[in-house]
Amino acid sequence: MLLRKYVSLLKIAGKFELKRIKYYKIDYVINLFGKVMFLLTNLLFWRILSNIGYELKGWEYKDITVFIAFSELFYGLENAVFSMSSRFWRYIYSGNLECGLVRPVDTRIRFLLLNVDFVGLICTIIEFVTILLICHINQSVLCIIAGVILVLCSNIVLSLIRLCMSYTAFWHGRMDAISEFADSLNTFNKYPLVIMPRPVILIFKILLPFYFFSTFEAELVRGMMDTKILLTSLAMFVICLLFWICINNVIWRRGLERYEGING
Amino acid sequence: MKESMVKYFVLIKTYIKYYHKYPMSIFLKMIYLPIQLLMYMFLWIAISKYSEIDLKYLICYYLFVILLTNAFPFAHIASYIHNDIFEGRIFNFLVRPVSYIVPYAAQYISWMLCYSIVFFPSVLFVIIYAKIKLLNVLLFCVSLLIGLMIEFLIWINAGFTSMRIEKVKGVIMVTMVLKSLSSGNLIPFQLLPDNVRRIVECLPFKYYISEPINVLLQGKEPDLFFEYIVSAVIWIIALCLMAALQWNCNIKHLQMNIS
Amino acid sequence: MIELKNVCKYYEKGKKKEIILKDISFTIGDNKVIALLGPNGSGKSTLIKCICGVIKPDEGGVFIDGKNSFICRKKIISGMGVVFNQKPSFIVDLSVNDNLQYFKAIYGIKKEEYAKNFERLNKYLDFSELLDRPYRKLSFGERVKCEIASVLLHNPKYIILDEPTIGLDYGVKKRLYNLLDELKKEGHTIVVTTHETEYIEGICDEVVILSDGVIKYYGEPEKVLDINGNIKKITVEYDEVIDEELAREIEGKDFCKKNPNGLELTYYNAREKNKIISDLTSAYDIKKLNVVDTSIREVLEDVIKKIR
Repeated sequence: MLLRKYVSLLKIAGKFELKRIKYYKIDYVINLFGKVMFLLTNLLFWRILSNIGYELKGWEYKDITVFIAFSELFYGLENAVFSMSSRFWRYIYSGNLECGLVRPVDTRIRFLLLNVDFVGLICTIIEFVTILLICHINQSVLCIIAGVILVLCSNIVLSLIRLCMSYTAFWHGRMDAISEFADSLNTFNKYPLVIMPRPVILIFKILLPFYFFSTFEAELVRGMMDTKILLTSLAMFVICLLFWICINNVIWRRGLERYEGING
Repeated sequence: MKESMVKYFVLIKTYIKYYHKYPMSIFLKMIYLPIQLLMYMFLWIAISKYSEIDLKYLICYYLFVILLTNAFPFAHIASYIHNDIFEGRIFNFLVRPVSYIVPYAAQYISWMLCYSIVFFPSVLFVIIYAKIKLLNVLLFCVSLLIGLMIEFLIWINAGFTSMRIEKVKGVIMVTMVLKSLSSGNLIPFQLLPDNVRRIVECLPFKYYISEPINVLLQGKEPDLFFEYIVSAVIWIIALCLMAALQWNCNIKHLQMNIS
Repeated sequence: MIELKNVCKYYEKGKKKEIILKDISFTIGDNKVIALLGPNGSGKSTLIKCICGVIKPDEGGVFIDGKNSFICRKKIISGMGVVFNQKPSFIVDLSVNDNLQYFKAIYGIKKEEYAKNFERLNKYLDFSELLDRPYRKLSFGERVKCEIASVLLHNPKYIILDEPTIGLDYGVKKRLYNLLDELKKEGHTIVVTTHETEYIEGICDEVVILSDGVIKYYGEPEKVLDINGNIKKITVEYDEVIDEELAREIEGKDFCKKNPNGLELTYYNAREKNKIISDLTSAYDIKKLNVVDTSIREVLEDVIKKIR
């Protein structure tokens, strides 16, 4: 029943997106152009490094391109679906949260679903598939699908972390800086995290899911890790996911108890 | 004249008080700026193990890239202007005896003054670490001030497009992408291919990041520096004119949000 | 039924505790309309939020049909329609119709029920012309109408409105209160906070007057007259200009000289009436004499003015 409600909410949000595209045509065209430029800039960066002769050990340009594909997929999903989680604090700070609390849909899910960028999502999928085709990847589709699922899950975990940061608005009010900080966590998707020292990589696998943004998926698709490491890493990711779900719910409940409501 | 200056000083002081009320903003910057810098550092350290690069230069370069890129949420200037226009709040500003841009400029200046707590120690560190000449430091300060003005004006112009096209998410995205490539944010200009470098050097984004950093780290000949200042001032004038033109033409077309 | 049991709410300002609500206890039975009145800052909106389960009371609790409103908010909320003062819940860049369709989806309203409720609400609130306009391009009053319509579409059992008449013109205000009256007859329970005491007579079953977070009065509106004195007014108009001395000689309370020829007197004790009339008629020839019962509205306004 609840799932049906959320699905119908998603369908409505999709219809709204189509209406928005019709109304704000110019902005959407410029946005698409910007996305293409963003991708080209990324590819250009690694091409330049490769042409100059700068390399990462064990990573050829083809491996880097696969990494870019998953990195773009991560960015695209994050911008299209989960971008508002670091802005949730505004909803709390402005007192508009109560308008969401008196509706029969979870406020956080409603907040995210109503801000889904369907055009961005479609562009992301096209981008991802195009880059993989350009790379001429000869890997199993199963690995690629597993990679996509992992990227989606790591986006969920990142969104949960950002929501937790946003909840601090219940206690501290204005949290502009938190949004910036939460957004800056994207930096860990810029380069393959193999550049980090081993202890940091361990933290990024167990506690914070940064390793699973795109580095792990690129290694998975390119067959750069053995089964033992693969299974251990996946187990660590699941622990990370469950941990952040619990933390999120606890802080949310505590925050609601703390909520004062403003503008009486 | 004196009275209008007092008005602006009061605005700047008010915003400084406001930022002091939320010290978390500065505190968090001191946490996540090093994180961002570490990403660049680890990348170039990993590359330097197998390729010959001037690691010292790149560390200093990217330190300043991080400090300057994250100095202020520039994209917010455009998005706040967009929100004012979209929700009709812009009309509150039209009935006040102060220009629309002035509060934004005051907020910008006051934030930069607060941010200097983080910025100046880093400059001092680089001066000592990289043994920078005093002249370079002075030229850096001048070029940075010019760069700050240009960066602010670019985002004001991006925000003003909202008066025509209402939503400016795309415009902000394109500006950010252009900035990342043509400001030297992503990679120093000297590593770019010649044809790409020629294109990016025509854009005004270099005045905020690439040029000031290179003036500090590598210095500049006086005549070249003079040329640089003249071209920067021309850009400032052009951006001011563009903003004024956008404002004057589009304010008439702006649909009222009746509230 | 809505029960409030010893509801207390404080805000901590450093070491001090600012009391917003103190020991609020009352019951709102089914099919009742209750008005929350009080001066600004008396805690009306905070009380409304406690009832909706949005804010957790620091002591006591609010129980709706036996369930704690804060803990069981998700279960209770489908049966509630809430409008908060100046807090829009519409998506600003979409049209009113799109927004209503969105609410239809989240409340799971069936097509036929939606059409029926829409028709009825439109009759009272008259918002059909606004359907195709983006919400952000509506005037303030038009937005208020749409907000109220959006929370009544799913026919909720409990209707909670925080100052719903702000921005509405006189005609729409009257129609809104007629709608609330009709909803009450259909079995809905309505809680309204308002500064407009004009419409309370004849619609509200009970009135709660808050001041500084404490209940000053709870009960039927008519009983306010007994508690605060049965205020009566006499207005008299003479054929000639009257002397100031006359007004001072009359033993009434709270009198005022309306114009050179007239007087208005307010008194509380019915036994004084005859003496006052006798004093008034003795000095000059009367052109007009009127004895008026003060309305509940005037009494309530008087009470609120006194407790401010």
